[in-house]
Amino acid sequence: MARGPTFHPRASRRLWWGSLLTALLLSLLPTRWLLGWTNEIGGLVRFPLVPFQHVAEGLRTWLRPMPDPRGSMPTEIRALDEQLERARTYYRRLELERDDLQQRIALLERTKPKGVAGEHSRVIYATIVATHAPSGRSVGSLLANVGERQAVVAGMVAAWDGDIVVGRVVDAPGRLSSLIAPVTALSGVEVRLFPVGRELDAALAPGGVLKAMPDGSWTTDLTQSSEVAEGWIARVADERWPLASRMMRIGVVERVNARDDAPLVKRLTIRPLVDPFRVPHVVLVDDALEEGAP
Amino acid sequence: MRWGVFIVMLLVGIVLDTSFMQVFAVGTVWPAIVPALVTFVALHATRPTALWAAFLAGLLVDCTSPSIAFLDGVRPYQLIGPTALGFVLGAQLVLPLRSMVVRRNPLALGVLTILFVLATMVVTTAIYSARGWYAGTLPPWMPTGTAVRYMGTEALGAMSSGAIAVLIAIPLNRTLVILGLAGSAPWSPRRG
Repeated sequence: MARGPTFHPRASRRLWWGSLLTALLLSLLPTRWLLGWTNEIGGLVRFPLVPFQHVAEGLRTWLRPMPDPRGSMPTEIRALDEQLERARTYYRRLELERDDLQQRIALLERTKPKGVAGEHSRVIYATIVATHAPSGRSVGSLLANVGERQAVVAGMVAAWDGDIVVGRVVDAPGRLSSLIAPVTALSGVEVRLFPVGRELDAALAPGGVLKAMPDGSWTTDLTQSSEVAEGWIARVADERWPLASRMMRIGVVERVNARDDAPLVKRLTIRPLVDPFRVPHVVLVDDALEEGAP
Repeated sequence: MRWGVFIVMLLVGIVLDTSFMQVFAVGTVWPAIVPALVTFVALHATRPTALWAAFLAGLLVDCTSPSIAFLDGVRPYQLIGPTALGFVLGAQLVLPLRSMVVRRNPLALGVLTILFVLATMVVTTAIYSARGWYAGTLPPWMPTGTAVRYMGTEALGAMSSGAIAVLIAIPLNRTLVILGLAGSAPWSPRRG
């Protein structure tokens, strides 16, 4: 029978306790000291696994595909519905750009703002090869098979089905892979809410800031006078996000409740439109680089 | 034990855990294979080998499970150690119990895997709680959850891992020879 190397018992015991103490020390080191170098170690370990994870992910998707809400629709209606949603997103984005431009014109008295991003967006197709969901699903990460080499940069928005936000690329993407913080882990995102079935101008749509909850949903507070109902769609309206991603759909209003401690405020519970941990592939979106930019 | 074979099996387990096992998801809970593999080794290997195998497996799981910090933006990092220490405690729990069970019985592997994962959860929850004091580091159950709720979810994960362990016990038993673990029990004088 094969046996491992034999050590002197005392040396072996020292090695064992030394390893345990090192692991305990690493476990308790402040996070700031772990940034950077631990990620490189993780990248080295993950790198050879990525092709196999790709195959396993493909097999999983084949065995248990994403539930498709349009699955029961005839093909033509389904295609029309998809086109309609994308057109609606594009229209909302144009509305936002229009408002933005009008504000600039009014405030800065400029006749033509320079380099407005969003007219042309940059997109990169990526496959999700691994998911990590340590606590149910509220916090975790997705690993995409594209990185710096494919011009992925931090802050790019991962979208599914054209205009549904899945997450954002976190800082320092790897050379050949990048980590995506799932949309359920993102907090503090500004959104505007739109009804389904009737049009509402983007400037008139009620807005709020999403606060992430542990069950993977968000809450946001609005004044009682705001007209919002269950089923309304939350769209990204955060100026810190790439313009190309603004007005993308992020969630749907699940509940509207009055707050007991603040009668003039109502609390909305918003649920993501798509489960980020079941998405097999995404499109990473960013604003187009300006001509001559490095 | 043949370490090369074990490491290959471990890497296969990690690939399946991170990319495939969600096919068995029920709600937000899905099973893991690596704990079952480590419990299997702890049932059949000598004590030092079982402990080193658990430590190595935990390190690899830590290295393939990125965390996210909220320091100067959203930044990734690897928290190396909690799972390694958790797996060692899990193996320490399995080692005294293994002489009381039929080692090749799939149900024994299933039950011990559940205990193994629960022991791991105790260690990882304690470490995450301690780290919650650091700036920019949220425990997995934050911002508004509780550690108890987190442990409840992990306990359900332990049950599902135990169920998977029962299913893979028979194929695992067939690998005893190539793992170099066939023969008498580790605590038997005939094992040498």
